[in-house]
Amino acid sequence: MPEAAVVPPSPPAASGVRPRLAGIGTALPATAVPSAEIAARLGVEPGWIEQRTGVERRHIAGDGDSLTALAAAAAERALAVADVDPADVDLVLVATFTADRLLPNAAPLVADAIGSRGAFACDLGAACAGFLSGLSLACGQIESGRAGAALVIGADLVSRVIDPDDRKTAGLFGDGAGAAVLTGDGAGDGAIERILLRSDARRSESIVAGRDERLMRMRGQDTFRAAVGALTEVTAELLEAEGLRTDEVDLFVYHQANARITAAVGDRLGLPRERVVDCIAELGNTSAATIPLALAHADCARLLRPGSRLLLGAFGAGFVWGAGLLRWEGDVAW
Amino acid sequence: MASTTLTPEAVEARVGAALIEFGADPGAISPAATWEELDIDSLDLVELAQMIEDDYGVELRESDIEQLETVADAVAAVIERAG
Repeated sequence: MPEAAVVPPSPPAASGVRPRLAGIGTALPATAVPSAEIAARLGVEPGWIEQRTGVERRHIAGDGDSLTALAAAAAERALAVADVDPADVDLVLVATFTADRLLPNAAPLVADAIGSRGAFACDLGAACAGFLSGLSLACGQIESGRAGAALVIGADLVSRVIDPDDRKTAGLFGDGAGAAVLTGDGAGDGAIERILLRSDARRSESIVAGRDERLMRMRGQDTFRAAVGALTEVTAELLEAEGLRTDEVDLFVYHQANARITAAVGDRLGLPRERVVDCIAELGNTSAATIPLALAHADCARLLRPGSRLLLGAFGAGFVWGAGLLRWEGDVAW
Repeated sequence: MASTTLTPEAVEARVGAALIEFGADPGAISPAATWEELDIDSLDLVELAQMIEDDYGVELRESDIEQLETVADAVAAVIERAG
């Protein structure tokens, strides 16, 4: 990625209130579609999609599914794990670019559905970096005392903006939702540490969805290169800012854009494969939902233990990207 | 950046080494070999383009990469643009 205007990262939690990741919840549509089915429709050889993306199957929303319901299901699970009463949530952020309608936004509907009526609720648009962006914004609200408990939800039904005949996107994306509950008592395990976020629109035409066509168009090769460069650089920048070596991070949890992007970033940083989460095979690229889904996957696969230091990284249309550090607390994923 | 020797032979050797890294059969690599014959896919070409940028300072965008069909095409693109 070309150099962005770099500003010094601000120190976290100047107020002394430390945000804590208290719960993770996920939700997927019931139907999983294997890559072979999509390959047959596209007229490509069996294995073509898997070789280029690592995706073997993805969950796809049906006519009866809604983004609001999926996001609400993930949020309810996160609240249950965190043991936080929905009535105590005073901030609900939904990162998405596929809300059910242009208006109303998804967040107030989700807040209402889960019993957090009255909360400050809004959507945020940062494409595949939406969850990490929401995490940063919610941390700021908690650190400043403007929110006590917050929900950050990454949810996308990407299938609704995919051209089923477009080889560049049809086999890559999936639908899903993931939610995180943040509280203000993150002094030890669960603490969310520094998050760096960046943007650079010089290659913004690489991923676009227009209002008329309402379909995502992607220059896959340009996006691939930009993503690998940006994720590698921001990871190094964050580690340097914190005075950490790569071997002091237990697990690298990147936006699951494409298995080959994740592998290329790991190779460039010299990371052992077992310390880089790769769960795209079962889920595809679910845009804003990938990071919470990857955290839940890592927990389920027993890759996490209390006190594990995690580095999250995301990259999306814009381009916007970033990385953040957190300490994992045991038993917080649904 | 741009410190690698810039003769067609040297560029061809560098490109060939990268293709082998991506899984191409060394015995099949020749100037006329196509990506399809070498089992090199579009994302391998992106990584090849990144290597070319790192080593020769030549930037190949997606629209440029799409024009390349053979090993010789890639070598020619490097020589032409680096010159």
